[in-house]
Amino acid sequence: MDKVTGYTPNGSLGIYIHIPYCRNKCAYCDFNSRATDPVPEGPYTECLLRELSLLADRESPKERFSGLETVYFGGGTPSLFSPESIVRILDNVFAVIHPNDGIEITIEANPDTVDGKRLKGYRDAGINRLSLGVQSFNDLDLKRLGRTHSARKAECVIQEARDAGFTNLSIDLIFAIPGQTPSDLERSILKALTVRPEHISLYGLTIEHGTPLHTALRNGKLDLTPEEVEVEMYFKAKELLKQAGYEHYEISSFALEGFHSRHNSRYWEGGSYIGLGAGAHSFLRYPGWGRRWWNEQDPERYMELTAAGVAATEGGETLGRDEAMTERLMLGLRRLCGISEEEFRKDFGLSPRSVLEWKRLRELGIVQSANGRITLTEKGIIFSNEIF
Amino acid sequence: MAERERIRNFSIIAHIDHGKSTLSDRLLEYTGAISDREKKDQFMDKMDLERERGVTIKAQTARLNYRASDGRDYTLNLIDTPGHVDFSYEVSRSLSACEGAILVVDASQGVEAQTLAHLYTAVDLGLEIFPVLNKIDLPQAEPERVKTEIEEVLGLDARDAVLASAKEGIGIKDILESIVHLIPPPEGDPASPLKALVFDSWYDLYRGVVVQIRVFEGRIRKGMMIRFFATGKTYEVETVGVFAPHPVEVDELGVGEVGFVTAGIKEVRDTNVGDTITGADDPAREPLSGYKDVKPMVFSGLYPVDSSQYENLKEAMVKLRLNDSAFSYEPETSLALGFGFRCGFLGLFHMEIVQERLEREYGLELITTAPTVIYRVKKTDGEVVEVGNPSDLPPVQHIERIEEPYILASIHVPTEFLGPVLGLCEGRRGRQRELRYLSPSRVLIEYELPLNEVVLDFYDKLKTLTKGFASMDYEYLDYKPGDLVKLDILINGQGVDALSVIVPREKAYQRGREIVEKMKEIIPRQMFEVAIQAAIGSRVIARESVKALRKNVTAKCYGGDITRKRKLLERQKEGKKRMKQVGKVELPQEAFLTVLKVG
Repeated sequence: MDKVTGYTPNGSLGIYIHIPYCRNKCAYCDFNSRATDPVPEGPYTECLLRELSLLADRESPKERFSGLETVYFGGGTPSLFSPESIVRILDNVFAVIHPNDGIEITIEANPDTVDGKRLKGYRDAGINRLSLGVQSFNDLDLKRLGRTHSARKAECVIQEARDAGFTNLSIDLIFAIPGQTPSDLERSILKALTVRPEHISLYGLTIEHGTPLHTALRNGKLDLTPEEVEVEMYFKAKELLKQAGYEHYEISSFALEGFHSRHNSRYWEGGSYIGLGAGAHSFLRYPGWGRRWWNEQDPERYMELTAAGVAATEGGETLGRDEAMTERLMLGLRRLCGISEEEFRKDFGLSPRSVLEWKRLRELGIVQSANGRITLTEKGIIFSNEIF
Repeated sequence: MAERERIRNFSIIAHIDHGKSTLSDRLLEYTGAISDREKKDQFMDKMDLERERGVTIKAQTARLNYRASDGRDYTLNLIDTPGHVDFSYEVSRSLSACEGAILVVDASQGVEAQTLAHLYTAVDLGLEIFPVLNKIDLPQAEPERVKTEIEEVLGLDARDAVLASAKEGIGIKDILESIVHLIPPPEGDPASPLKALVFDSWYDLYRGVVVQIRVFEGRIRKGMMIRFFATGKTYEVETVGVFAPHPVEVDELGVGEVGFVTAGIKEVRDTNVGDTITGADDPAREPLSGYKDVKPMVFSGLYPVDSSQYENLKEAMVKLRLNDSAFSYEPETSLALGFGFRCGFLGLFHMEIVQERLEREYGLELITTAPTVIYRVKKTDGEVVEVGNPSDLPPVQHIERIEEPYILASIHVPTEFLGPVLGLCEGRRGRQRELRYLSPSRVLIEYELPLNEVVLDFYDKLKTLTKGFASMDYEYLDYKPGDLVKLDILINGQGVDALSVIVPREKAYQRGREIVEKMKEIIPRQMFEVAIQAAIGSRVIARESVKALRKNVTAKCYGGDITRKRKLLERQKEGKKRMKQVGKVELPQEAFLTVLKVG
């Protein structure tokens, strides 16, 4: 904060903390995680703290930002880390930048790794949002995805989370799982609605290179869901969620009123965040159009460097105007409220229409404009790769 | 000025790879024309492209001073010849400037078709020819077999053939002595009016057009007024010189001498290869014989991938044309590809060279349409039009007859590949004229073929079928009527002019089917179904469709890794730029080459 004027030009900050470990690697997952046992919780935590202090020295978050708005523990499986480690990390984070009132602190959890006691521990540590990797309420789907928990287990954990005092619960669901039918999906969603999570993330399965599913596909051992079925599933799911009172606020995200993911919204709105841990990405809105950097992916390499007192940065870039515009569009249009034409023009001196291939996209029926905002049409959502 | 009796003008005739350039270099070195320091391999091939392909495109000359074993000093002019069938006219003009030629034959591979073609030209021109067996150092060299082949196939006396290895420097002195003793000195009257043959010309940034000449009668001096027979234009000679091999100015060039002239000439087009230069004040009555106007035979459209590069392309073509009078271009507009040029080339090889130079030297990215020949169309109203672009073909009901150019192809092939080669020629509507065994293992076949059937991929196919062992040469015959139709390709009902081809009616169905099938593989799925049709007139003869995309979304964007997604997007945009929009459909660059890849 500017000591004279009290003005902080960069707004608030978010912090992302990556825990790159899992008990098992799921068949579809290409995230940065390693199946390791035992998990080096202690040393890795020390490294996170070390990195935090290195970055705090370099970026002076206290002076630069108005406060800490969100913290997000992602992975991998962050719920492999004990509440004690989480407390230690949060204490150190708050020492570096003051948490705002109403800060959102999320942890991702795998139903297999938590029980009532541990969930209570997280809640006591200050975590107020739980993102549970349910993926499906159908055991067959779970098996195909290589998940080790059952639907029953997920239901139990949801109940335990409520008992532990989590009033902001998000669950992840995946659709277009090979073998999954539209009615399978419908049943999963109806099941989810019975526990009424505040937030639901709904992802279409993508088969990523290097995953066991991709290998199966290449060997002809996987029947992909036909595109038209996938589209049908998406619209059906959306319909069900809307009827149940959920707001569709981003391509893959649905929430009850007041429960948007504030941390993820930060990504879509171009807000500042610092990522800690192996492979984590950071973005700060200064100088100019902003800059980002990212860490070494390999956890061991990350720890080696950090322990030696070196920032484990693997790469970085300073954005130019073109890049910044591309990002604004590509992230902004993910949100159903789209982007404000006026704000865009104010920031970049250009109409967003001149940057998008407006005429072509309009003719294809994938973008629309209303009330000074550009948004994707329903068709645009399923063809968003045509734009970004 | 060199004494006429001690001048020898000679060329080297050789098949590609048989070692012509290396031998030229050895001769230059041996006579001290180039020093060790500047001894880059293959001095005579100047352009990078030539060096890369081992092919000479522009003729080069070098004057060598040689003291022979008789103790006297001789001036030897080495006149290099272009090494590819597309440039056979240039070859014949270069040979016209000589009294003799060295026939270089690879001692392990024997005689090839192209060698034969050049050799016949040399024989027709009355040149003294002696054979050299090169690469004699290789273990697989078979000098006796190749000697027999030279005698049987070419009818040359090979008993005294020089055994050489240009690479190892073996036999170089023997070659020089043979040049002095076997090749006659030039003849001509120094007192007659000037007659000098133009055998090459090119544009030099500092001197303007440089003309390479051989003086047959009279002399040419600095300050003299000269006239070109073909154009009738007159110029004042600014410089006269010789290449030794670096340019050296001299006072004049006399009978039998070879050298260069500059005369403030602005364009290479004004100095046609084969033309005769005479004195403007005291002109010769007749030019030297054998001049002809070279005309492009193969045409194709060249378009910039990125339409904003049009001006750059135009500029590059102007520059290229300065140096290559056989290359022609004129602006053309395609509905599908926008603004571009219809370009004319001597042949396919010439076309490839031009494309490569445009892309490499001028940094352009081009879309090339399928090469085509010039058709002569007699319309029902009696008018005859020449059509070099399929989309210019008059409507069917106005066509009385279409004629297409034919060539006579001479193909040399080892007997084991004879069957496949005959099959290829027959499949391309060829008519056999001759089939002759040159030796128990080699056959010469001659076919009349429609040029149209050759321009696409005949040469590549021939090489593939014969594992590279066949060699080919061709000459133009004339126009013959053909049962030809225009095959149009329609994308979502809209004709794409740049994809039209003229094909024989009997092959239209097959070609149409192949093209649409190939296009189906190349056109990416879009948000709507894309119909691909092949049609003759209004009749659709083949149809395929690219199914519509039902969705195109990869929704996740996790952990704030936005750079990766943005880079992906940037690449995607870059790829889109390379697509050409036909109606709503985006066609990749590759689609325009499809017609080249089938058949």
